[in-house]
Amino acid sequence: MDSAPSENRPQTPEPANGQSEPLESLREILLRRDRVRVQLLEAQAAQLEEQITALQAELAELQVRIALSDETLIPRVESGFPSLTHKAVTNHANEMAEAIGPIIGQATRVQIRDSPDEFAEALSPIILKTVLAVVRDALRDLQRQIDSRLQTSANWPRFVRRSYARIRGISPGELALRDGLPFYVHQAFLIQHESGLLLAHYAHEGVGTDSDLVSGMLTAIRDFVQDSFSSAQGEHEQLDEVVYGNQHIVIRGGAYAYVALVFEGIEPAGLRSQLYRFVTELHADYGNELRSYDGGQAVESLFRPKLGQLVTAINQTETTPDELNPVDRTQQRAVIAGGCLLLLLTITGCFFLWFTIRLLPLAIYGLPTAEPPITIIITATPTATAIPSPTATQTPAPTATPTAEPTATPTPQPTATATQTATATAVPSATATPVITTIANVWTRPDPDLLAPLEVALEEGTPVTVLAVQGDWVLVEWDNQNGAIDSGWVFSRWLAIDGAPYTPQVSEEP
Amino acid sequence: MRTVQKKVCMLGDFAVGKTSTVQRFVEGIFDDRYLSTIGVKINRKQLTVDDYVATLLIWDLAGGDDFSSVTQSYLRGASGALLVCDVTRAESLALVERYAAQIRSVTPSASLILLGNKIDLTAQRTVSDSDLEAFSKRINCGWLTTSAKTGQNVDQAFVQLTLQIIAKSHLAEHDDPAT
Repeated sequence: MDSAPSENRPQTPEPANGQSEPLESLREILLRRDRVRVQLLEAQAAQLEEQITALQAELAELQVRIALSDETLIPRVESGFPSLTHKAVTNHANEMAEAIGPIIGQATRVQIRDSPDEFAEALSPIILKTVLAVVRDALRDLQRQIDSRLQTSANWPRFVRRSYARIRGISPGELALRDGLPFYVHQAFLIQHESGLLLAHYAHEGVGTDSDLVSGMLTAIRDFVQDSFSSAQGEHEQLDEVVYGNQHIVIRGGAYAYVALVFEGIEPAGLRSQLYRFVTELHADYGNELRSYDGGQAVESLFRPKLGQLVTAINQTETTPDELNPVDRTQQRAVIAGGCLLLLLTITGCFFLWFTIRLLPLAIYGLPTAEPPITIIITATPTATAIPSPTATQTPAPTATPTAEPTATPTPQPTATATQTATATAVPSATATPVITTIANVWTRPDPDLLAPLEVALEEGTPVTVLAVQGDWVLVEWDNQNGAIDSGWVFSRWLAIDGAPYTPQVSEEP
Repeated sequence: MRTVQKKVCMLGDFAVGKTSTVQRFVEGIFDDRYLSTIGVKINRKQLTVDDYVATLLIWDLAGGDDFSSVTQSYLRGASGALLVCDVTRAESLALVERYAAQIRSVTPSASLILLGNKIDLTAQRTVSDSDLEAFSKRINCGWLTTSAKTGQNVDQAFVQLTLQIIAKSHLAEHDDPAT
């Protein structure tokens, strides 16, 4: 093998003399392999250069092709894109909505930022319509409130009722209206806009309605009214209320479905706003179900509880007005003032009762029938210095200090005859009486009776002499300071002996 | 058993027997007096078809050559319609094509059946079966001859329409990848 490529061996110059041949042979042996390798590499490099040239040509050709394809492809895609999009939206509405939804919000924000006027102009028909509907509802509510207040003012019985209502924390108008025409929701329908098919129905027990027929007819009536009375400017208002006798049907609609509420009575403020919120939230949460309903899906179980919650909430709100109008500061003050007044009346009543009970004995003793008629019998004359009865222990001794306490047994028993009694009665001697005085200004009477006419007013501290005793009444005499002696009956409690309470010592029993 | 409710419409010229057909179907009786429907009247009938209990809400629309926008509104959301003509009045058949176009413009997927009514009036008949067949091919729907007076084919008409509606919605459900 080594000898084979000798023909390709490079030519070397001949040495000047014949001695260089071995050197040449040695060089040939040593460098032959490298020379072959160099030749091979040179051939490969040339081949690679050819390939590069070919690739460059191909690249240029491809670039030309790409440029040409852009020019033809884009118009083709552009022309087909709308129909493709439409087809995709028609066949895969939910998927397209899911896919496009996130960027719609962003795109809307960008559009609003870049050209707000244009955007506002585009949206104004929708926004204005919504705003008008809300403002209209608010104005209706205000009008109702004013009407009710006008009707319940300037009337005395209603003033009393209004005061009562104010204490309870509800407006008197509401109270009067509620008493007169109580508001109550009977039924609620959720109906698909387009087809009039019933999505759900809620009714209280005992309320029988052919609900799917009603929903169909209601939809037909709405369509009829809209088509017949929509304005030439293209404004499409919707029928939002039907009144039949005392029954009202209030309708609030969204994009795919509407709610019809059947009730009786005066509509409370805020009902339509509440209904509007309900419909809006329903569309936000169940837009797909409401839109795609074709009568086949079981949606009654989904929407009926929500209608029930709505009806219950509205009815409860209406029957518990205190929650609507919590007690404010003025009402609180009224309640507190009422409580204080009640407390004052109670105290006054108790005092009166106590006073009556305290005066009861006086009233009883003062009764004329309580006293024996004329058994009064009197006693001895003042001159009867008489002989104190051995048993009359209460007789103050002239020398000794009188014992105020009665003796153990006031022995003088009523005797058979008054005369005997009289003689038995201890009569203080005239000389012993100056120590008895009146303890207050006290009237004297001709008879021992509260009903007897008043005669003379004895001043406090007037010394008197006891002439006789009958029950709590004492017949006294006194110096009238004109040199004469007067006498009369006084109640014993107004007398005192040496400053101590006077106790009649002898009582006459009938 | 699945329960469905479907809206179907009765369409046709005045006095072709729409209301009588509905009345015969819903209540099983026929009122000989002339009935002219004004606006719309809704009736309901429940049918059991295959595995379905179908509640049909039948919108009986006023007939006439006035294709007003009101009728257009009533057609929205309808799953099907019976196009009724009077076999004793050939002109009532001509109007059916307009009614078919009207409902298809509102609900393209609605199922339709053409009814040639009043076939009990044999002597006065001017519309033949071949006319009905030819016409039904033009508007791409099935056809039946009926008599609201005798009740002939009335139930069958509604049953066939219901079957078509259910089959269509069944297909739609299976075509819809979301379901």
